Amino acid sequence: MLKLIRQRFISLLPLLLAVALGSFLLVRLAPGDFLTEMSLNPQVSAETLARLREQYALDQPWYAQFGKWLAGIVRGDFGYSFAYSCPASGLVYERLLNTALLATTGLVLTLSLALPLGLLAANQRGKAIDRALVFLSALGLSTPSFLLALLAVVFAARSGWFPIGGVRSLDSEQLSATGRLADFAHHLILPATVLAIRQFPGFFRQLRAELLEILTQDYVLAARAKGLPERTIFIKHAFRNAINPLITMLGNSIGSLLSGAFIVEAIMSWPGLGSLTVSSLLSRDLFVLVACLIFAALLLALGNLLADVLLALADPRIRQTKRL
Amino acid sequence: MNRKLRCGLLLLGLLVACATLADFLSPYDPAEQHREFPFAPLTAIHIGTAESFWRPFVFNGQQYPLRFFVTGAPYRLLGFIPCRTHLFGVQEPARIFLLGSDGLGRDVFSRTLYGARLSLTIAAVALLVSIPLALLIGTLSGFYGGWIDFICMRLMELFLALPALYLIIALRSALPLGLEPEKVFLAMVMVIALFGWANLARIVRGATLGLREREFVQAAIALGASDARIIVRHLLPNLTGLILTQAALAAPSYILAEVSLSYLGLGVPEPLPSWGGMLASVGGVGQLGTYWWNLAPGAAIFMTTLAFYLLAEGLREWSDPARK
Repeated sequence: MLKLIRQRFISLLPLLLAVALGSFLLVRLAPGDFLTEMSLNPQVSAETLARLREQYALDQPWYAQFGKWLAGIVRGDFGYSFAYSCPASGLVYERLLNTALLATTGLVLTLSLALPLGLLAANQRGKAIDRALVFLSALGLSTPSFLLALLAVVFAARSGWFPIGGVRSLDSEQLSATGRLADFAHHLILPATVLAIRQFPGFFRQLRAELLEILTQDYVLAARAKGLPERTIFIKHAFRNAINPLITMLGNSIGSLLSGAFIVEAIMSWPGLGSLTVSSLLSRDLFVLVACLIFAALLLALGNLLADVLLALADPRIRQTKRL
Repeated sequence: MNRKLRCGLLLLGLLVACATLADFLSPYDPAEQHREFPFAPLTAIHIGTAESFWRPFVFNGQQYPLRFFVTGAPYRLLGFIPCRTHLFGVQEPARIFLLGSDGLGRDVFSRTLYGARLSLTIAAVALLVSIPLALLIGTLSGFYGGWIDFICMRLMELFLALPALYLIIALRSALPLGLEPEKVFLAMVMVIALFGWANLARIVRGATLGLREREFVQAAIALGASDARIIVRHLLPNLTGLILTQAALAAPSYILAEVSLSYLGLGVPEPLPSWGGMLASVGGVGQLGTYWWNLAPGAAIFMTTLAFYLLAEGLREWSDPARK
């Protein structure tokens, strides 16, 4: 197991380097930089500009810049945010935490809906509840998260039950620890629900199809013949065998979850990685943008790694073939 | 042809018809501002004037009958036939806003129709770029393996390592923000296609790997057929169903990418109507809640994704009847 994790981390490094180089070059391709805008500000003196330009090697060719930036990374320094006038890493960590929390809550919500409902639908195959769930999941599959987020915001605005955006209320500083937590959860619930509605159909349909397939297998027949209760057959025999593709899907879904969270964040004003990426792009905040991209790639890779580890844990056959 | 495929084709055909005939179907030019009618609600159409019991009319101080095939703003039908006839309209000073108007008094109905034109064109052009690319890279890397496969796979991984939207935003950042609409359109198509090919290519590669081991391909190799012949005559025909299904799955994600970019203000600039831009231009969630008809592009997005979803499901069943 540890070997797998180590191998994946080692193979991750060149990928991250390529992502960093790619995003660095991308930003360089665009004309001008943040200092171009700063130079329009009469309050900023020419000396300050020259100093900043020199400090971040903006006056040197891109490979020198990249080298300098890379040397900083090794020391945990992701550069400086020109727009926020603070180190980029602190900014990105906070946003990353928000995004990760949102995505995780969304995923947990998704699974806690999709797993029982998938079992229920497979159990009640062809009955009204199954048909209703299949129809709803088809509806959910064809509703983009973009639209869901908009509707959710409109709903929040009209009903007044949920805050319209942000992660905390204005007075959260005065609240007790539990109060602050409740406030955070209150802000989290709507965006997470939107993500969950978007993710639910995929998992639900996969589980249902897999279960229906498995229920025709001989070992299920054998279990029935033994006189095992239907409940045991479903949970211990069918469900246990149906989760493998779900775990693979979980890994794949983290990417789409991040992308989905991106637009949900933008619409529901959730201060996460997505909204930071857009604002750093618009203000040409080079180091923040590159850090955002790298962390997004890292999050995705970690998700895939997690799925691989879970798969190996869940299925002894995979453990055997990979010799962990 | 199954029912889902028929429904999907019908819905998509309807959307395409709306998009191509947008100038004929829409009563007003999409950029025309009726300044006296900001945020006008849906125009009520009453039935029965003094002259005729069945005559539909709109009321604006007095009765203005609804007229069909009226003369209005000039346009070019299908892009080349000069024409002034619109399907319906009412005499000034009355206005007909089937879906209300936006903050500048522009007809939401007309703009939504024109937005369909933009979105569908982007999806079609992006598919035309990304599918051949994915077919080329996927079949080559699946068929030859070796170092070609290695390079292609690493390239795909690089593209798949980033959540799609982050990558699109980053790519968009390489281009200046203020461009002419045509160039922005071209840039968006390129950006979307560039991120879209990787996933498709991976699927094509997987399918090619499977096909390569099949008897008919082995037989063709044994008979001494050239590689080009094997790929074109044996592999590609067997990939048709898969490619069509994947295209139907990819199209809505391309459209959503365009909508998201436009929503974030990185898409086609204002006077041109785009669904994302329309939703963003309402400004503020409170207004979107009050002037709910401005959510019309959202409904259009839903219809489009639904059409492609039905199409994808239908194509899947059609190309692979055994697996339902």
